[in-house]
Amino acid sequence: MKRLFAGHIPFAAVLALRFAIAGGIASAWELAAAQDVKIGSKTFTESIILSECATHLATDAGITARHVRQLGGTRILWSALQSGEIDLYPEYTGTIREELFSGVALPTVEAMRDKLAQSGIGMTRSLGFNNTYALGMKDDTAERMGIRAVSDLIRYPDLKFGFSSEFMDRSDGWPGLRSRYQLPQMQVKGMEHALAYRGLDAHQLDVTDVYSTDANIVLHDLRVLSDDLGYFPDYNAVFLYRQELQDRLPDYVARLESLAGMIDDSSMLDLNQRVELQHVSETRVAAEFLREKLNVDVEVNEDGRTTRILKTSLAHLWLVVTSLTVAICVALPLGIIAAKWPVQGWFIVGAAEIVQTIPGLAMLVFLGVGFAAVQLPSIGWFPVVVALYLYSLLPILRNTMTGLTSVPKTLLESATALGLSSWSRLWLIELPLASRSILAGIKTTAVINVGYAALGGLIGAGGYGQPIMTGLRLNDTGLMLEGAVPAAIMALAVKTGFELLERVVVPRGLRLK
Amino acid sequence: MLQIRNLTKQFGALRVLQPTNLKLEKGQTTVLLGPSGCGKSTLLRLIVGLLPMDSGEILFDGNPLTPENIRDYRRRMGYMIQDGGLFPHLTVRGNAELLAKRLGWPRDRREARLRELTELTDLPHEALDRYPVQISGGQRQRVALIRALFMDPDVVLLDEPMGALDPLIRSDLQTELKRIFSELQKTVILVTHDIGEAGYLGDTIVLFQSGEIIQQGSLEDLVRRPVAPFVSEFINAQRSPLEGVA
Repeated sequence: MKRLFAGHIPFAAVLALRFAIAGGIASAWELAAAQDVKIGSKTFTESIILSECATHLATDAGITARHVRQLGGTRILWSALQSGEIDLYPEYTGTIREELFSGVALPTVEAMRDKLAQSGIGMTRSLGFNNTYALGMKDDTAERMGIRAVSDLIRYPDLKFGFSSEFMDRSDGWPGLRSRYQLPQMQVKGMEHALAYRGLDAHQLDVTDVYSTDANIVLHDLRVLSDDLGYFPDYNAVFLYRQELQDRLPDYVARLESLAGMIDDSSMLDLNQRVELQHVSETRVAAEFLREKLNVDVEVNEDGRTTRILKTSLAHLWLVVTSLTVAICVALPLGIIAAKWPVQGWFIVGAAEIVQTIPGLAMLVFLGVGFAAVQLPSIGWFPVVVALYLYSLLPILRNTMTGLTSVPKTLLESATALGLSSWSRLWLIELPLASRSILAGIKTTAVINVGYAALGGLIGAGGYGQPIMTGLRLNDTGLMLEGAVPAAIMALAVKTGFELLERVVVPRGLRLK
Repeated sequence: MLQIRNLTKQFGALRVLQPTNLKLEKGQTTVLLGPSGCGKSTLLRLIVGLLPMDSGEILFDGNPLTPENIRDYRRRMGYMIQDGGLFPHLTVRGNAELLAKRLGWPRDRREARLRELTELTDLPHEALDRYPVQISGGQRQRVALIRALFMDPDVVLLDEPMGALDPLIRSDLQTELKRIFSELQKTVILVTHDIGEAGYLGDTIVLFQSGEIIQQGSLEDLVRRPVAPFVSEFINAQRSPLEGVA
């Protein structure tokens, strides 16, 4: 009994302490994060640069702003904007027309503006560039053949085309383009975009699809063929913002409007390649641009690598510790119930098993949709913690059950015959005897969660997923390692921590042999 | 002390205890004897309430045991099983004083009781802080006995307490049990299939076969006045160690 308490108090205390530390830091962040403006961005460089511009403009106007980077795709940003989890994000007119209001005729910008207003969303004028599909060729080849526009391709039926599979399939991609321009080429293949660029460099391919502001244009020395028949839809960049922001901070919205027409195709291309090819941060690129174009002077305070790693580590730890703590509080009692009542146990374990089969990404999508419907945060740490919590249930539950059901029957009978109540028997005999198994379940879960928490990078929850995602986007191995290496170290540390904890929690009598 | 009236127990279609009547006198050691599966252990487990009874009743000091009051009566019974049933995560002390501590006995009282019982059972005092895996089989049984006796129960129930011990240690412990029982003057029920042990420890022997009491009496009654052929068969089935010596 003495051992038991000597065991349980430190266990709870250690967890509570870790919880408090991480919780304190996270809530300090949340407090500091009581911003006037929350800005979102999609998972590609251009979107992040534009949102950094919006962030700098806010800072310059004395408004506190937080940029939640690379939150996800169009759907996630749009629902976050509608629910007010973010106040604005950069979008493209083509996307608004094709994805947000597909099936609705929006022939003019005014029609689009009216339609958005019905959802309480405002739209700035075009920022100046049109990031649409385009065809690209090696500049030297195009020069030699005298090709400047898409219609020039008709004269060269032997050219080899290699397109991204998305472009091959989309009705507004290759099929439509071919019939509009009556292109005669027969050698057309769908492939991974990175391979298409390599094919161009090796002169095995002649033409591929590009985005008109893509840094690859610079990297691979491509010429963008002009769409002389005006086939490709416009993807003009705009900011979408909540109309409520217009009421709250009209001056700030006016400043956003002042960006309209300031960024043409080649400026945007240049900004993108500064980030992707020259590895200058989006923050700095955006600041330099604003200084040059709008004479806005913002100080760029970028964290050093150590501070950055520390911050992502704390954010990561917060995801792991919170989800694990809640999971222990729920799964341990459920495991006890499941061990005592097999029928209920069958349903409990079954439910936890079903949860386990949902893939991580799908889980985030389900939770996002569900939470948005009931006004809970669909982005940031909350859905990630909930997802991790759900994944933690089964291993803790199962090990608790196994630990309890493998207590020898003779010991249970001895305890009963002594005159212990079933509650005392559980607390004094069964749980201590099951402690090793229960702790093993928690340890496994904690280690797995350290890995799984990188999912947070997908919906702006911070943590090691963030540098990993950014590193993937920028093809920057150093940045990927900045997430992956500390994650591996944290997993090892968690494992070691639990092995030390085992010495405290598991009664000494069970560790002898 | 304990009175058993028309007690029956069935496992599925198998009747493990035929309607059984038995009176256990205060201060007496009664041995339940019989082959494996004869119902003797079942009877013990019914008394402690580890099994629900099908019909009949058990009176403890004249009061019937019920699922509602069994927990209180268990505290007046000490129960010990073959392998001791010691909790491996608790020390010897932790095992012995588990219930007393739960019931709020102060430390001095628990220590005093421990001292009495370690002396009574001849358990070395330094064993108190060891864990069950760290002591010998004979010592484990002593600890189990201490635990069973700790609350000073009126009735002590022992289910083949020496079944797992080697012969020398068993004989030692038998000697000590006889001394302890006569010192404490408790009502003792001991289950065994060893006729030598039964004769040595028991004031009364109750011989079971197939869930039924065949004969009840002293060892001498059983040997000299068997009521059925089975009684002699059972007694003669146990070989004397000297049988093979010319």
